[in-house]
Amino acid sequence: MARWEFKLPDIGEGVTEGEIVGWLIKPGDAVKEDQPMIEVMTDKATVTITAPKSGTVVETRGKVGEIVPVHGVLVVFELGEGAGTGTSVGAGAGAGVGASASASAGGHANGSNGHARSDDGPAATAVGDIKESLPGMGGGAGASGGGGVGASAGGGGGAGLSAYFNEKPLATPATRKLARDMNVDLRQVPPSGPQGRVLKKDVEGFRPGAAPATGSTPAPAHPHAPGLASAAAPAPMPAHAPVSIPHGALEERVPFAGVRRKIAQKMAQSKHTAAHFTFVEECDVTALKALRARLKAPAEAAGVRLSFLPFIVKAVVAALKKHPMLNTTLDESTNELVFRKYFHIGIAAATEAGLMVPVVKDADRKSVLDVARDIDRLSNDARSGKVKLEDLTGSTFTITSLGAQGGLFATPIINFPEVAILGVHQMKQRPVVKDGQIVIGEVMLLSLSFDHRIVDGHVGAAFAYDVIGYLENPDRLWLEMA
Amino acid sequence: MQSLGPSSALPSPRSALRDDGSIDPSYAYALSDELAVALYEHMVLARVLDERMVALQREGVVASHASAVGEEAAVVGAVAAMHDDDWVFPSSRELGAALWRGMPLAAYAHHVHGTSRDPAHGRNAPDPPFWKAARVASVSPLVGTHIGHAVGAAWAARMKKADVASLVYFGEGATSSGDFHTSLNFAGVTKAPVVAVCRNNGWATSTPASKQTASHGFAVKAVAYGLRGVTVDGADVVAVLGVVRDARARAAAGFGGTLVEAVIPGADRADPLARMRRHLETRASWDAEREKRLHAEVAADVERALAEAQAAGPPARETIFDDVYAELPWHLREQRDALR
Amino acid sequence: MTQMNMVQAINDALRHEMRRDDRVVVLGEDVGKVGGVFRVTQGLWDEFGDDRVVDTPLSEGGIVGTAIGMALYGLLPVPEIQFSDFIYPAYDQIVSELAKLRWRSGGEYPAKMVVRTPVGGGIRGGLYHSQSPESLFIHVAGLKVVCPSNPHDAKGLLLSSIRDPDPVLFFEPKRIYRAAKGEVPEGDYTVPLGKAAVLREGTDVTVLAWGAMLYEAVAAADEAKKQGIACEIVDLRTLWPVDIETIVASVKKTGRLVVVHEAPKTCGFGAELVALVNEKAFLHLEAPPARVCGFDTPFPYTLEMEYLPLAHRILPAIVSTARY
Repeated sequence: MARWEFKLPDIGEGVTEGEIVGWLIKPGDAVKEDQPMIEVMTDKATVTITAPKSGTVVETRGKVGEIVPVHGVLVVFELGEGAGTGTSVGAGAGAGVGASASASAGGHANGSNGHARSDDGPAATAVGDIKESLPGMGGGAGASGGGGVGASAGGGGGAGLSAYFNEKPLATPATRKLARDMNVDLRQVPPSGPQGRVLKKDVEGFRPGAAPATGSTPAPAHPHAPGLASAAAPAPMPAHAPVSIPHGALEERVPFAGVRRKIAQKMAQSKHTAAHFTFVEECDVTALKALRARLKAPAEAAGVRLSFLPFIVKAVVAALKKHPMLNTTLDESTNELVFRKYFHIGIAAATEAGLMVPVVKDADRKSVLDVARDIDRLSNDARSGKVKLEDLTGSTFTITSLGAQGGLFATPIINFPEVAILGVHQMKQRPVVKDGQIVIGEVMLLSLSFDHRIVDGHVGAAFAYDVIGYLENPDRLWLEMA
Repeated sequence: MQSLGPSSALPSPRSALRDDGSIDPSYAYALSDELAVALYEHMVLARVLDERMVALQREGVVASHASAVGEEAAVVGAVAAMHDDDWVFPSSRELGAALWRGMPLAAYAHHVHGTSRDPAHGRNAPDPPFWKAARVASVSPLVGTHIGHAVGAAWAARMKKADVASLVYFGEGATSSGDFHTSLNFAGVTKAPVVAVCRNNGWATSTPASKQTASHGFAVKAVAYGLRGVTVDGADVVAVLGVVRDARARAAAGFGGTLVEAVIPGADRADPLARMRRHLETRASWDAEREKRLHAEVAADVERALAEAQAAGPPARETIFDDVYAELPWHLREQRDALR
Repeated sequence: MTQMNMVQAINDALRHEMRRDDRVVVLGEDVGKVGGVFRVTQGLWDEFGDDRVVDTPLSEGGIVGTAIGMALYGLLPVPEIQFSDFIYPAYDQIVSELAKLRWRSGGEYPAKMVVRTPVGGGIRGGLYHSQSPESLFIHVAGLKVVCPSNPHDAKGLLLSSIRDPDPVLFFEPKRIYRAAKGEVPEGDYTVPLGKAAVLREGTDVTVLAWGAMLYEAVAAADEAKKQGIACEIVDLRTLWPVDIETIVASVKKTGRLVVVHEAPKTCGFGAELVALVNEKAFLHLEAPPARVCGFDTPFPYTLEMEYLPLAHRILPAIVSTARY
């Protein structure tokens, strides 16, 4: 018999803490391996953490609503006979020897198993929001304006999310003073107080390095730096001199934190690393519209509300198979190009908490109906804040549905470290020339951004034309069906 | 048809100076040459200064000035009737009272300019000045609030059995204030030796006396407080002097206060300075030469005082915090130090 | 030492000072023969007579206005405003004249007096006999504001107030006029203005109170102690200029602040105290400062005990501040 502490694993992506959403076990429970134990909300998603070992629960630490730091103890087990006293297991940490160190530094954990996730999770891709009237993201047809995703998300865990997505540490002035005196950055201190408040004892017990260094969270310009007060002391002003107050009440300062900051980091990383090239072409969707109209009723009979997005996903997958370069990723640590032989398609989605990219896994092996079901489920989860981390990671290619307010075309930013992203714009009736006649055509523009370091222009264009070909002649998708 | 309403006719104000410059034989007091000249000189001084202040106000040099041009007889005559250690509570227009009590012109000039040598340290409105050395009290520009102070000082003197009285001035507008009623009521009850001089020039800023009161003038109000009420010709310095002397004597004898209504005639009526000059001219002690010399001296004195004040600087910034309390408390020390 | 209540102690102070200093004059409505509606001046008229103990006409503005004149003359008036609810007719005289005289005259015409007035609720006085207007005077430059909580301090503070060169508003908590009893030294002694008293030392929460509410604060602190919370109770005694050093030292020690007062919460003195503590002890705060006050309503007659910040309302504030 041995005691074993289960600690909140480092789940990568710069996540440093999680809020306990719910306990699924209690002291005294006999827990089997892989049995769900606790729901934890990170600033990425709500994840259900399962037991890595079988054993008896001695103690659970932390109440619902409390913030637990990564590596903070969640459960104390009494392990059963024969159970090893293994290491603390975390989703990210177990990915290979030495991975735990490099993972925390924000590098790409290059796992030994084929489906190893990138530690750089889903993030920024799209330029615009996905409106619920748009293909694939559900909601009432034609609804626009106030009924957007952000608004409806408020009905779910929205309030909790926004409260949590605030990286400005909560602490009383006395605690802040202590931290300043001890030269401790409060944001690095795992909080143990109510509502995630850092307590004095947290600061006193804090040792730099004890908490995970969040490589993707570079320290900003010393908001708590000692000496700031003296630096801010104004120089004596001559009597009756006009006082220049910069902007004053015309500005409001809001912490740049949480998901917003993560998005910023990912966007900047992508833009600074990948050599973006954007290719725009139009696509006649007359046949696609007709096909969807024909299939709508049977799909509804199967309980699926069919949008255009599943067809687009299938067309992309078919084109990716022909142009595998667009489904690669560059492992700069080994200077290897990784060809992915699986097709996980990210769908960029706007939520109240920020941009999320839920992933349709193995889209190549799924029917149009299955893809539609996945998209439906993922978009609902994303909006309600319940999307699971596994649904937010691992995409190999991303589609961003730019919709009614996506403009004529756009230059989407690649969901790094992927190498390409497809922006899908609104379908519109436009005059087109057909057989020497100007007729009304059903036209949709596609914006394909790809990483020109890896994908040559003609390769990207060929991929785009293949996607267009499938969408203009959706019958051809039959030929690609697995 | 006989009117059933109150008569609009005011009681005829008492006069002393007759049109020929002589004093009515019924006048009770002897008037020495010296006092007669002093009355006139102070009226001239007040007039010159007042007119100069009006000009300075219009030039923007001083922020405000409450003029008493035409009311010099009421102001100077009343204060001249009081004893030296009596208290004087002016309202905003009686700079002549402080001058009579010996306030130097320079002190007044510094006061209205709010300089570092202003006895009020530039803290109060330009008018009225106070002069501690001669018991000319500090009053606010608020209307009527000082009447109670005058009553209180007189009452205190009575408590202490001292032969000290109070003189308080106000315009007829102040009679509409609660403080007027309250204070004269106190005066009546306590028999405080107070002389309250109401300058009724018929106008409170823009409001005619008919809109201040429905009573027969203002002196009649004294009856309700158990005070004596008299009206006097407010352009007749000799008459005012006599009436206030009567009032002070009555108060000193323990019979209580008097409300004196000094009726200031309209601009078309005789100028108080001209009336007194005419009287002086009946005496051997005054002539055109002295008249000329007086005006030259007064003008020179006023200009010298104003020049001195205009050359002086403002008070030091830190003086804002002085005299709020006898000693600087911690919070004012903090605020002062932050200003430095 | 004699056992006295507040009324007796204040009476003792007045009598003592009137014997010692013949400038001292007591005036007000019904203060003479009958000795005031609360009998605080009882017996003074018999001893000092009409010229020093004066029944005035019924006009607070007149009382204070004439008292200013007396002060200018050289007397030392101690007017009584029968209830502090009645002080508003005198507000103009106090604010525009009394408070500003020394300043506007460059220090030449200070008007010294002590305005005594019963304050606060809890005697079934209703809307117009229960109010606590202290912050209206604390806000005015030139005034000092005092509020004793016990007979010893009442006498000592009143003697200091009379001898202080500045005008003083002396608020007497009428709810404890007779309820608060204690040993009062005979003869001369003073309790200095501007000095608070640490009534009870504690490490966890600083509770600031004065007057009648001090007893409620003590009762709440007793309950809090049962829950392991040690309150440091500070009786401000002089509300303005407040003893900032004692307050800041206490808050620096405890890190926590609860202010109790009867007056309505908004812009009450508690607001200023909290602001001062924020300015001077911000980095020591372990919890947001709390105020337990009268409501922002007029003072109710029937529900006066609901209005007053009694111990049962103070306790939760102490506990939640301590446990923040």
